[in-house]
Amino acid sequence: MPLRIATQVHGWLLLLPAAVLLVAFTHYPAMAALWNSLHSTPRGSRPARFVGLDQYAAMAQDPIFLQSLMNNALFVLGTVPLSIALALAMALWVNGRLRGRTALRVAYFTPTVLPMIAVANIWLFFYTPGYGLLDQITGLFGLPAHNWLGDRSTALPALMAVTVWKEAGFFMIFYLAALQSIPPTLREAADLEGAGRWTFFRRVTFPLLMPTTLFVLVNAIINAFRLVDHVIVMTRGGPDNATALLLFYIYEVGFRYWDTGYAAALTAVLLAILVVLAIGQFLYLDRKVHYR
Amino acid sequence: MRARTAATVSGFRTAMSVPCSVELDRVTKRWGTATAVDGVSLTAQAGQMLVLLGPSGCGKSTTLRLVAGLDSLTSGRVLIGGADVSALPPARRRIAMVFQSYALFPHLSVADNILFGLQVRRVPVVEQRKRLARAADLLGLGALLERRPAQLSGGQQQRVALGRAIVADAPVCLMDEPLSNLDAQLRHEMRREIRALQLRLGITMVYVTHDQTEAMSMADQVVLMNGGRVEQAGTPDALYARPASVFAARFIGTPPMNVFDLPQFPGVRLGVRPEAMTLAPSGPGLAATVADTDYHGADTVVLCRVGEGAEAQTLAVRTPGHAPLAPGASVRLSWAPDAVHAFDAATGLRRPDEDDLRRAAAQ
Repeated sequence: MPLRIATQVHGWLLLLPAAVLLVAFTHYPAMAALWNSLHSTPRGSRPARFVGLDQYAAMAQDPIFLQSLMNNALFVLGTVPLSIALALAMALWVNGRLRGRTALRVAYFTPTVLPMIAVANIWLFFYTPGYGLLDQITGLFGLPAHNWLGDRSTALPALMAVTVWKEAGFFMIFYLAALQSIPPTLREAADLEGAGRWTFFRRVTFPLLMPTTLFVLVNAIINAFRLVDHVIVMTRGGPDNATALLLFYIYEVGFRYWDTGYAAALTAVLLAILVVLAIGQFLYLDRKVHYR
Repeated sequence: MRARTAATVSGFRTAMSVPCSVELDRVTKRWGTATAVDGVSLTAQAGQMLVLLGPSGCGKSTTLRLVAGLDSLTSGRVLIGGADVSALPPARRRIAMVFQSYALFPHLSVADNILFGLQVRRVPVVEQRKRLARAADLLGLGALLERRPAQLSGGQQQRVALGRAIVADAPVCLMDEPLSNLDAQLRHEMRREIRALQLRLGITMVYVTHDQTEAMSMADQVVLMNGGRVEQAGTPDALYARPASVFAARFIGTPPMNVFDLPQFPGVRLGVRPEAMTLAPSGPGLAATVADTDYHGADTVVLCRVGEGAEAQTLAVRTPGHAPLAPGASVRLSWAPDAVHAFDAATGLRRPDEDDLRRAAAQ
């Protein structure tokens, strides 16, 4: 065997284990989902048959799908800007010269380390009507008990609070790393010119953090669409689908109603949304981002 | 509003037209128990170029940062233009500063980098443009104004940093080893350029360097620092001709001054510069053996060994041209009485000039 071919074979053999795993668990299922979304769901004696875009057409008439889409949009708007702003604020705070900043950093990061299910259960207790932490506090001020997760108007915001709480600490770490790569002489040079804290932040720190902001933004949005565990543990999409997010609805359709064809079509839509958002962000923001 | 801006602008004008002196009065800086700067007093006259010179860790950069107000004083006073600025923040000390790393804002264009301070201080746009044009013209940056710092060479970045200092129209400019990141050729060029600029703008400059050539060629006044204290202050000429201590003698001049002992002068260390020594194959003078030669083009530094065993000392002799001497060759070293410096062996300080001793020590 010529040496060149031997080298090639060698290379492919090295790639093989990873490639097999990727194909088996990522690419094949993704393609299969797309394929399934063009077919009806097989039931008992009726095998799947090709239905073209019928599954997609059905979504337009599906009120729960439309509501979960709407819920998800609200969820993104409610959690992403807030968690990013909080992350940045916390990073600026713990980046300063203050006593016990290591402890503070750890404290802010802790929510990220906790398992999702544990987090959900902790917050379930906070939200419990009557004796939950939140009601105990509001009770001190003489306010009536409130069923935070049981009320249509507060259930989704209650879930958002959990997500912001969990995500902000994680994003803070990225901001903190970026802040520490900004040379301190820039601050000194600005000091000499009389630039105040806010001016320095607006003119120097924030622009230099833009690559991090873009990265965090893309991740935050993807996470907002991927969220399902909190919903399952805390509300199961209720009350009256007020907290049904897209992925939760897909889970319900696929694994509770076993309408796999429709679930596959919904998955394709979810992926399409994420791809469009990610491309849009990169194209739009890339022009404004200064990479060092 | 209009009146206020006008006042600010004229304030800058006066600042520029009246140069300021910089004075340090027993300035001390301690970090915990470590003393970085220990009772330093010095004065840079208005329009003067003062160079703080010393080995790394001698406290020269810290001294500069104390003048700038970037670090706070432990004790002592800093006066700029006669006014005590010790308690003022950096922005109100009427100084500009060039950092060793240049501290350019990587995301801003050259023009925005230069104008950053003026924008922060809300100088009117017309005035900003005028000053930018002047600085760009002085430094030859005209074609680069739209570039980002990363797209510039080291020398160009250095110019941008200078531009930022110039547009501030501050009467005092501080420089922290501004040339240490440049190659030798460029360093030489920038050295002349900075000096020319300083003279032309009539600003007072405090310049930190560890490079004695830089200090000697640029300064009106050199302040040599060692271990947080001033070792010697004076004109470059004075430091070269009459070093106040063995440290000053060895720090200034390349190669450094020969400091050696002769048995007939107990308690005294003698100093003779390599360029003041004459080397002859025979005749009168101190007997020595050639150990090594170091050819530099215009001259040769010959290292000679004097004495035997534990008493052996190495002396450098600078001779013009190419000296074809083989290691091991016997030579005679001689020097004139007025080339002799005498230092106290115990304290390392210069002794009062004694003609008898110098004559006796001449070879």
